[in-house]
Amino acid sequence: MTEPLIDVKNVTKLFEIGGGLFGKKRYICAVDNVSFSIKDGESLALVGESGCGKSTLGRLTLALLKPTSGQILFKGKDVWNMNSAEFKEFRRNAQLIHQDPYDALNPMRTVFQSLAPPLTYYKIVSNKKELMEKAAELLELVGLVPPEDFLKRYPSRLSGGQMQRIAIARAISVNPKFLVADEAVSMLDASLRIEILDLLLNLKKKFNMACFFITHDFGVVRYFAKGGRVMVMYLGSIVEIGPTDDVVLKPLHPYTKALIASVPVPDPKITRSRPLPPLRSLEVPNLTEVPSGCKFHPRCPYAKKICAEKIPELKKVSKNRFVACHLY
Amino acid sequence: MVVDLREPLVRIRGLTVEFRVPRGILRAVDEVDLDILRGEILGLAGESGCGKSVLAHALIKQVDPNGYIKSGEVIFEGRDVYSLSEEELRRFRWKDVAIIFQAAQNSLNPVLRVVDHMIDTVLAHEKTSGNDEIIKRSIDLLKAVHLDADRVLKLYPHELSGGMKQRVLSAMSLLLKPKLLILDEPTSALDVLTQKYFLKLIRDIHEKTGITMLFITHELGTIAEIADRVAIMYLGNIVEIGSVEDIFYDPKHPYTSALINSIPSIVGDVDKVKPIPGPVPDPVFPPPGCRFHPRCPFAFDRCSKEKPKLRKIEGERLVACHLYDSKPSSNLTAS
Repeated sequence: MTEPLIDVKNVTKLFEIGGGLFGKKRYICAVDNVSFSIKDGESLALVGESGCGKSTLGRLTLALLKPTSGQILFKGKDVWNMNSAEFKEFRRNAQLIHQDPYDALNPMRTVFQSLAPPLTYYKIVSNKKELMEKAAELLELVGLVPPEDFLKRYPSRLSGGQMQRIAIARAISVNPKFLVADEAVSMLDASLRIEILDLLLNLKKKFNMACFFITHDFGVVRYFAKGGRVMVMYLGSIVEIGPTDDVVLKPLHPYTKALIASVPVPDPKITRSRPLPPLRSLEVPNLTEVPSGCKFHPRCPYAKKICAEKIPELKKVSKNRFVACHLY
Repeated sequence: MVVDLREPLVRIRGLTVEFRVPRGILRAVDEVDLDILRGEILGLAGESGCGKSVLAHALIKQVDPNGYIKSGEVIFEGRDVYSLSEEELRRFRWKDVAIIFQAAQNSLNPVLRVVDHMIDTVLAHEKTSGNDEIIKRSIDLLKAVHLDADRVLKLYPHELSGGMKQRVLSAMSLLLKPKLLILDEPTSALDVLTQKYFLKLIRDIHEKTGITMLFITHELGTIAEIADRVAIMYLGNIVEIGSVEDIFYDPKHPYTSALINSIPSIVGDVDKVKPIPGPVPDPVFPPPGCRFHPRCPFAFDRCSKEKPKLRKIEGERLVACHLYDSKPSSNLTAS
């Protein structure tokens, strides 16, 4: 067994809310005792609805947030116990692509000025000439040709798709081993989405990067994490992990089932013949009053007595498939 | 009484809407012809910035301050909407046509209870109704959208979830029994599970009341689920109109088929998904001729020179593409 690239062990993240001067402090649990690992070059997709904690989990794996408890290991080393040289190396190796390319680029900097700092900081280049060459090479890699046309442009002169390409170029410029793409294509139009996904897939393969792909769209997951794995999150907990096609085509957890049954399909006959998922309630519980036991039990059509009492553990039900549900 | 169900409720002809932007004039809607038939759910689909939302708002003469309706007409049940007086227009909006917006959740007044919203809405348009009658009507409608009516009426907007707000607004929009309901990206802000139930609700309302609907979205999956007929829009032009089956199973316009093939879905073969080639053109300086021609794999000479007109090619199908011109070859030699 090779050592995983990223190993997330029992990670919990609490956020303090409200309180005020004399009020009682309250916490919401954005990520609740989550464990998983990502291997070298692997695609792992994380799916969940807005507010389920998936972005927080992404930021935890990048050490942009410190977990309240638990550990994040990079190549076997706890990222929060690294010395500064090790941590700098981890930072170089773990890069993020944001959802909103408009926010990711500084509007006052040209494309070149956005690309240059990481290259010089991590000493990827040693002089001005190499820097210019490397910047041009990166733009070619992400399909912005000829590079001279783009280097001196400001973000206001770029389309959304072009901006996302620049953001990708900057992320891969420092030769990372691990890429977190947080809803990286959800702001883009249908016609551009596949182009950017294809670009990410090609780069991932070319540089053998592992990719943690966060999205709410199962269709996109099937395209991007084909042959990889998908993980489903609900209210801070992982409810199911398995190979992408297995989970999408044969979901096991009642929440995953409901989610997949609700996804609209661009085929009138199929989509209209799919019944409504049998949910007991449509209301997503408030994060400050998370249900006892299985967090999904108040909405779950199959809930039993035990579901309100005991938190289900993520257990192996068949080869490569894990589900946190008392039905299994 | 015999009513021809296929008689158009709304007839849009030659509608052009432009915006003044720093770089020049942006023509968001370009000489659009469109009929909305009585009792149908017409889906209007296209990518962001294609002008679908501008078109829907122009229908009730609502354009942002930097924009203007350049030409064209909207005939609603024989009435010319653009020649209505301010007062007539005010009554026309909401009483004849109601709109549910994308960010509809934010259109509720935070200091008013649901019941106050209902009463205000009715009183603004019908001076005669008594409060009891309005409340009774509200309860019926709230029940129709599967809400606990007696409880919800007393709640303030912050006490409602996103899905509940959307349902309250749906009920509100039906209060005055409008003839046309415009839904502008109503599901985009909802999570997937709520979305599915909301679409079911819209279908139920449609079945019960027979109200005509214009449903605008960029999500083709949603269109497949809800629409009877579909209009596809690209850079201000309607490129194809047909029944939902025709559009999805036998698309005629190259843009329609490219768009459908670009969507990875949870069913079907993901290997067949492919992007639409080429960059999205700058809407301020759109390509000449057919606006899709620089990205179209079937483009020929004429496509860059002459703008194709939307016309009937068979049954109820309308396409704006030179591939379906009856005599493309003779015209080719002529140009």
